[in-house]
Amino acid sequence: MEVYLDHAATTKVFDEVAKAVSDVFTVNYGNASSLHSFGQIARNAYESAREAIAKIIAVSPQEIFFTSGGTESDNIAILGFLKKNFPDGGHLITTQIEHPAVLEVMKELEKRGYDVTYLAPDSDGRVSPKDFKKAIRKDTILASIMWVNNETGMEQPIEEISKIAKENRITLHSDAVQAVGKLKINASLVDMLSASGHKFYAPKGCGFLYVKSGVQISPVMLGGGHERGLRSGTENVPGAVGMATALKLIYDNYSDWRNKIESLKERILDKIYSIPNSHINGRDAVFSHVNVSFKDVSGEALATALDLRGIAVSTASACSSHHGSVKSHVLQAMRLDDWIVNGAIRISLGYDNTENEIDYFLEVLDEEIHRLRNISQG
Amino acid sequence: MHPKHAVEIDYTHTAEAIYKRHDDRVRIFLRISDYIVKDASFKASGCPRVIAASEALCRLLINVDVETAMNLNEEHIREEMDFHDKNFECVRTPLIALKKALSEFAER
Repeated sequence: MEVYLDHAATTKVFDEVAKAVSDVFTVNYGNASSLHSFGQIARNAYESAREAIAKIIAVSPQEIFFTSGGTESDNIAILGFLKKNFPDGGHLITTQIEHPAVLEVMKELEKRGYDVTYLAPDSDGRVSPKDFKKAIRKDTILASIMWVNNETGMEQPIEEISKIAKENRITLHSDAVQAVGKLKINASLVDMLSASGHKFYAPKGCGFLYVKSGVQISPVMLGGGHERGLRSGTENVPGAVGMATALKLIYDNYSDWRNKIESLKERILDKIYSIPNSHINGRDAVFSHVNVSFKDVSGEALATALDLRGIAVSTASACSSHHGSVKSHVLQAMRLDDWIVNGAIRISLGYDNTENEIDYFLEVLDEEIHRLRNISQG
Repeated sequence: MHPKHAVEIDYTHTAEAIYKRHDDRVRIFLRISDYIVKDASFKASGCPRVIAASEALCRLLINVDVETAMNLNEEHIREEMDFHDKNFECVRTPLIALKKALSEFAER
């Protein structure tokens, strides 16, 4: 049996999405910027997708900009905002647990003369609104706080942070790549928000950036002036249609699908609690995520053992050919013991997982932990 | 990932090595008689390569004399594993455990 439990890495596209995307590739394939009817049909599909996505995240269509994914959205949001409004420096706030798509941008900005405060999370992987408030300075201009962490699945206190940011007139961006398609989010809590299609059953290579009306951004990539000048490049109509189709399916079935995954997660947690010397990394994570470590079992060894039996999970700590030992920057920021950092695996459920798959996974998990502990305990 | 030598044996010599940077731990067990390694086994926690390297080392050790065992190096283990990427440091830990286990012979 093959069981895919790495939906936080990527998802398959729904059959309905594949059909909708395929139709665009083979039938409505015009360039959305062309004036002829082929182009106009594609343009209509593209703008309908924009409207559908805007409705789902409760914003207006003019506030949605299509991009190639989460990394590009994060880059445009942060670099574009600073280029337009604060090109000469200032103070930024982010967290130690951001995805590299934000962290690497922040490091680059430090080199360019900006000051950056990196908020530390607590041992469950959540940053504190109090720490956010304390970090604010007179020259703080932008904050970038992720909505849901990709490794632990911990939702960050965006609502409280949004309130504090507004009181202090700080523009707030959120990398919501792990939130869109999982949570019912109110995007207007933040000023800018990044999303990625392949995390919610749409194709790879598409995403979007929400920019609240009134927030000014300069493009970071120049060209034909597509997406109202913010993101040049031929419109990815299949990607936009795929994202709209996927999100519509998810939110039309949201309660049922969420309940199903919640009950599967409960069964996984029950099993984990029955295994001695295990540690959940991030209690109260979103319903799709379980990050767990088992003492005397390396995460890489367990993920490999599970893979050999057809089960895909992920680990953020592993040996690397070029970097020696790579450890999860998220779990390290949570100041967890070495065995927890080295032993962590991430199980991320998807709407397509079944009870039978979870039964098989739990049986194999038990056996492999037992076997690896036998190998390790002298 | 399914080692045959991660078992209990009636051993005469044993030692453990810990590679803190990776959080790897390997204990080697040897049954030595008349300067010949009659049997070898290990216990290891770490990445798949640490386990595989420990298994490969045990295969190399059985039925060799102590001097040959003392002269085993990383290249021998890599050759036995058919794993030639020298950037991985994981293969060192079982070798360090072996050298410690054989230290009384080295002192002679």
